[in-house]
Amino acid sequence: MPVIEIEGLTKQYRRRRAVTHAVAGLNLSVPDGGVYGFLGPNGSGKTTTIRCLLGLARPTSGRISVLGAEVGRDLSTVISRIGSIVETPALFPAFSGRRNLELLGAIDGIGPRAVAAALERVGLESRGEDRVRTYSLGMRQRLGLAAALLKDPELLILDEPVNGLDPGGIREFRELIRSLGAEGRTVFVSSHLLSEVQLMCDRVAILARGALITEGSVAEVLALGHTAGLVVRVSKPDRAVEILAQAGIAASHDGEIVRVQLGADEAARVTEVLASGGLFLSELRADEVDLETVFVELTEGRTVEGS
Amino acid sequence: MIGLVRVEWRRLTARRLVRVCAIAAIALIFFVVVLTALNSQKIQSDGSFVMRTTSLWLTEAQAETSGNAQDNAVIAVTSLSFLIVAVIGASAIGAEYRAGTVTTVLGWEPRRVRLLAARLIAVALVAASFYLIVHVVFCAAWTIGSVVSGNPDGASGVFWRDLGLVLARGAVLAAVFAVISAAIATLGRNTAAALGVWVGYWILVEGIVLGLKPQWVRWTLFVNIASVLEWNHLMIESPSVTIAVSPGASVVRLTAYVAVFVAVSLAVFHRRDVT
Ligand SMILES: Nc1ncnc2c1ncn2[C@@H]1O[C@H](COP(=O)(O)OP(=O)(O)OP(=O)(O)O)[C@@H](O)[C@H]1O
Ligand SMILES: [Mg+2]
Repeated sequence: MPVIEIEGLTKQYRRRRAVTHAVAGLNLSVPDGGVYGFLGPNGSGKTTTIRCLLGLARPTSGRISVLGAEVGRDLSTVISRIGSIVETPALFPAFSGRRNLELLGAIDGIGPRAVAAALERVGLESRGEDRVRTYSLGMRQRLGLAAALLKDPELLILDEPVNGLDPGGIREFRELIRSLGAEGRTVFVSSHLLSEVQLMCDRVAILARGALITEGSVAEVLALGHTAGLVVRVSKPDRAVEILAQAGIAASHDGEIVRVQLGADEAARVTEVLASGGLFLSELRADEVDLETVFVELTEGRTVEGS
Repeated sequence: MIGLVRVEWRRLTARRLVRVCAIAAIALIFFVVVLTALNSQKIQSDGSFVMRTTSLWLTEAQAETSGNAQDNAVIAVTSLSFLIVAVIGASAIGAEYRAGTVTTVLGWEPRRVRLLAARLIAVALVAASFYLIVHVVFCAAWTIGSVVSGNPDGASGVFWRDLGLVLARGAVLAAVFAVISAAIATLGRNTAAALGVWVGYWILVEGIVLGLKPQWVRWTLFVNIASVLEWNHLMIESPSVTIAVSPGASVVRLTAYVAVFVAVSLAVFHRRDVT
């Protein structure tokens, strides 16, 4: 059974006369276990979707179930199995990190021992007694994750959890999230840091303008990228494109680089055509596709236009 | 539910605003009481001031039978306390919106009506406790002052019982103030907005509207509060009309006002998106 199931979710915000379609007919099904990446450019509706998932915002239409519970109706029956961070985690600035966690834990009858364990897991044990006001953004982010982990949840819903972390912190977080997924938990993590998603997720969904563009395992989504071609470096790239075109080979240039839309098995033919036209290659390699490229291609022109 | 109220109680009592207010109020009380005691004479001679235990709170009837002036020192402390609990109530909710922790807490208790109800109950309890602590300290200090350098006569069993009832009613009224304040802060999602509403109400309704329409006085808040606190029929006189406000009717009105504020804030909090 999917852990998260979203059917036909729409969410409109009405402000004065303007209506924003933050989410527009989203369907999504997140399987049990592992790390699920929820990708999309700024304003594509990730946070809004997560707010709807957690019952913070009321969907305009659509159905959402989380851990088998209908969100609008009986989210409270499963909330003790869900840990979450929405945007920048908000805690009481005048209280220490530990007191914040203790107050939250007390709602669910979670004691100080679990609080200490959660602080340790995110590497905040030495700053637990300090007021949250004195924390850096990254430390707040960690404290937010500690709060999410406090319930020992089956499902973690994390909205951009690496925001504000330094590279070392990002690496640590990635490892932590991967290990949480490997423990059999489901981690639903939104991000626009594509390289991160590629490194830590098992599956990804890509969102643009409130609707799903594609969904699948990381490998499947990567395969949607432009057909892997060849990258050629020559001294006169524009001339190279001409020569290739005369030979019936589609190519384009991008600075010094010429992209040839042929598989790696045709490298010899490209070399031959260019050489016969008097151009000699300084480099020839297969064009790599990463999630970033796929992402940009898929969401191109679909970022939210200025409102 | 009790667990939620307990968590909210812990959170509120750990707040610096609440602690600072309590300490400041108690310090102020000691200062005033000591000053009063220093100025007091043991025996009244030629109109000099005497600090009397019974000045804490004397009903009209008691004042007449004992031949004392009807002096009610508690009134001043009570007015100040109401002001403070209104701020505490507003900021109990406003601070949550300011810190954005509503989102976080809803991730632990998504039943919003329950959550807000627990908060309002905790606010009521904190306000009543604050009121009682401040008044017990005040009354104790005053009594000691009057014994040491004033006149403790006339503080009979009836006097103490009446004083106890005044404080009990005052504690409930403090809760009323704080809950209404918290409800307004919920609607406005902001401490300052709630305090602004109070100030606006004070100036507009209790000031301007009552000046124009004195017959509406029985519906306004402060008269009903006073009537319940003193448990007395109040006769409000203006040039055109005289209006009687009875404590029983005031209880009904205040209950209705609190019920409306609580119901509206619960309904709005239940429906509104948290962003
Ligand atoms: N409370 C709100 N009122 C009005 N419009 C809103 C509100 N919250 C979000 N929106 C709009 O909804 C759209 C989606 O916003 P959302 O925050 O879900 O995007 P996002 O994918 O999380 O973006 P980011 O990567 O920047 O966090 C945006 O156009 C935003 O302006
Ligand atoms: Mg977002």
